[in-house]
Amino acid sequence: MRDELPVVAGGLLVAAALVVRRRRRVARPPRLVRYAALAICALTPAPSRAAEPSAATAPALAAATVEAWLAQVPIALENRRHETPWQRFKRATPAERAALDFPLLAPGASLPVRLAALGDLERRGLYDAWNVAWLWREPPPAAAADLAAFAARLVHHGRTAEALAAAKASLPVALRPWMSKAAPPPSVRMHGVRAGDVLARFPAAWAAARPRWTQPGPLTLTVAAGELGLWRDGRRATVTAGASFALAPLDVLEARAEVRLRHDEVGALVLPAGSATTAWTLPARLSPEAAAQVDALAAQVAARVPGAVDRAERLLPLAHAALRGTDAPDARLLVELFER
Amino acid sequence: MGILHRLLRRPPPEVWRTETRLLHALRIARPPTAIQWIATAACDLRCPHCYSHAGRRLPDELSTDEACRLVVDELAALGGPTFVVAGGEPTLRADLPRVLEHAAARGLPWALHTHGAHVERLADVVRAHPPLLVAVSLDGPRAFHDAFRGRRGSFDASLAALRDLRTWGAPEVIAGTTVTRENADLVADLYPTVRASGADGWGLHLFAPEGRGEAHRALVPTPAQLRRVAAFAERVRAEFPVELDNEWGGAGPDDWRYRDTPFLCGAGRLSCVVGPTGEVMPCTTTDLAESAGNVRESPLSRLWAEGFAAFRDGRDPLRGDVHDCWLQARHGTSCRPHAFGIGA
Repeated sequence: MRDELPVVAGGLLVAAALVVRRRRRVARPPRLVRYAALAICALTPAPSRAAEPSAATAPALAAATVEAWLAQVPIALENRRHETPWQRFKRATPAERAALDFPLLAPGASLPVRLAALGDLERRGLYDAWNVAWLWREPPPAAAADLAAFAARLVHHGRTAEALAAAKASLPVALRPWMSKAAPPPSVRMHGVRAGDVLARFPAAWAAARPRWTQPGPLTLTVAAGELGLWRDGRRATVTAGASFALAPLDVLEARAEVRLRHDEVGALVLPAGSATTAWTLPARLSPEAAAQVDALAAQVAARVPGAVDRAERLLPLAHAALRGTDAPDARLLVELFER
Repeated sequence: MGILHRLLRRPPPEVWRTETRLLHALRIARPPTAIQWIATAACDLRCPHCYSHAGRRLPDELSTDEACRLVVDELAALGGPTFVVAGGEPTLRADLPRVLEHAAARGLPWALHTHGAHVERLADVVRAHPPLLVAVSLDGPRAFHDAFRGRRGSFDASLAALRDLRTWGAPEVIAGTTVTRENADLVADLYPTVRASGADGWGLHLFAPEGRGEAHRALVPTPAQLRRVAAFAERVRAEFPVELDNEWGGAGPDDWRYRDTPFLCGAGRLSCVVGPTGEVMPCTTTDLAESAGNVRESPLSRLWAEGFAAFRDGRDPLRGDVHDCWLQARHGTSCRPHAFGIGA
């Protein structure tokens, strides 16, 4: 049915057109044709989408917050030259950042400092996926519950940032050929977006938002001995011996008593009693044998051994520390993917 | 759900494709948005990933008069689409400033693709008639770029061009990198260079086995590389205008992660390419079977009105698809399943 409607409508229009004219011509599309295309698309079923959860939990955002977000965060064609202070902050080196009016983080900043920075950013409307990676970089030693609470705040922030960006992207925009083949015509270079329109689409976007930073990656670990507390999005699940799980970047692993993990490829990891472990600290938990394997893999990446980069990518939470020690562009790309 | 809501939430390419089919049935062609002119096949580099066979100048390339009369004047008659000048290396055409002056006099906005080594030849015309956009090739860090392009100093020439073009008043100057198997894992090393170059943005093209590239199919990136580069581009977009270009195809519901506006293949529908000898092609393919004709034999406006039916009538699943790069799909190198995790 979906394919037939345009054909039927087109056929009728063809019949009419044949009566009126035979020769093809170049002309601006008549408005009637646009309406007909819109109607055909509206009457045909939309492509099936994944079931969307309820939008009831979408946070309430003020219009002023969205205004501030639109003014600072999105990078789009129309503002390439107009670099906002926030964009300048993100692009700046740590030394340059000191001169800009945004929260600063010293290396190893404590969780309260990071939380305060996050709150400050949100008050300014600076919802940005970039913040999640920046504030989670090398989290300080802390109790598992505290780390998990902070990670949950970041998940919420990341999902809000994602929903805002998706809501903005869902607004109709002028079409243009892609810049690889053609420059955009002047008429479509300044498309404005209103905060009210973004806000209206925000709840639906929130319901569908799946921030990639919160999704489990390809690294699968198995609990070999002990009982592991797996904190994800503020909730603690228990993983018992023999069970496996895929690690997400914002997960916190809590070991109240010693826990031994196993990775099928590299071997054993040991989480000491009373420890809290994140993807950042996971390499330190590798057994000596497993660490040697990871080091060897990093050396293969540096030597550009075929397939080594792909293997290292699958093991990134275990291998990022070793990869930092190499002087290889392939390794640097993987480390960037881990940190961003 | 109200009908207006459905109308507005519909992804624009669906509406656009339906409209194109209806227009074709009504024997109407949209005015083109942009027409690219391959000004010459001449190039002083021999890059293995070249989408044409650029090298020597072809003996029967359009003359200055033909370029002005058969291309520029026809573009004006077509409503003034953007005049995109590419090559080969277009700045090797000594008469290019004259052609661009003529285009400016006819009120055409223009854009340029160049490797950057000879842009000083266009300094006056850029100052007098700033192009909408200039894209300068940058394949990787210095050592890689110079080795890949076969000329020491070409990396520095690209950086100098990015700087000079801005100084001369070009409103938007971007760096363009064609991602191949050899440089895909170098993008993180190249990023700081692009950022420091003063470029307003960074376009990541994707190697297609066309032209000279056909003999270098081994340059097609691996699926894992495609995924890594797409992921890197998505993340860097938070701080710098990086975009995946046409050859990557559309990313479906995730398109906004990689681009500012939804992907749309405009080949033969919004844009076309005039080759150095006047052949009118839907895009940068070198397959003359796809030609709509030659501007020496028929006016460009007529070729545009009459040609490219397979791209407009919606019956050809390959050419009628606005969601993927048809050229990549034809070569079996569509990257969408790997880069974006969606069906081709």
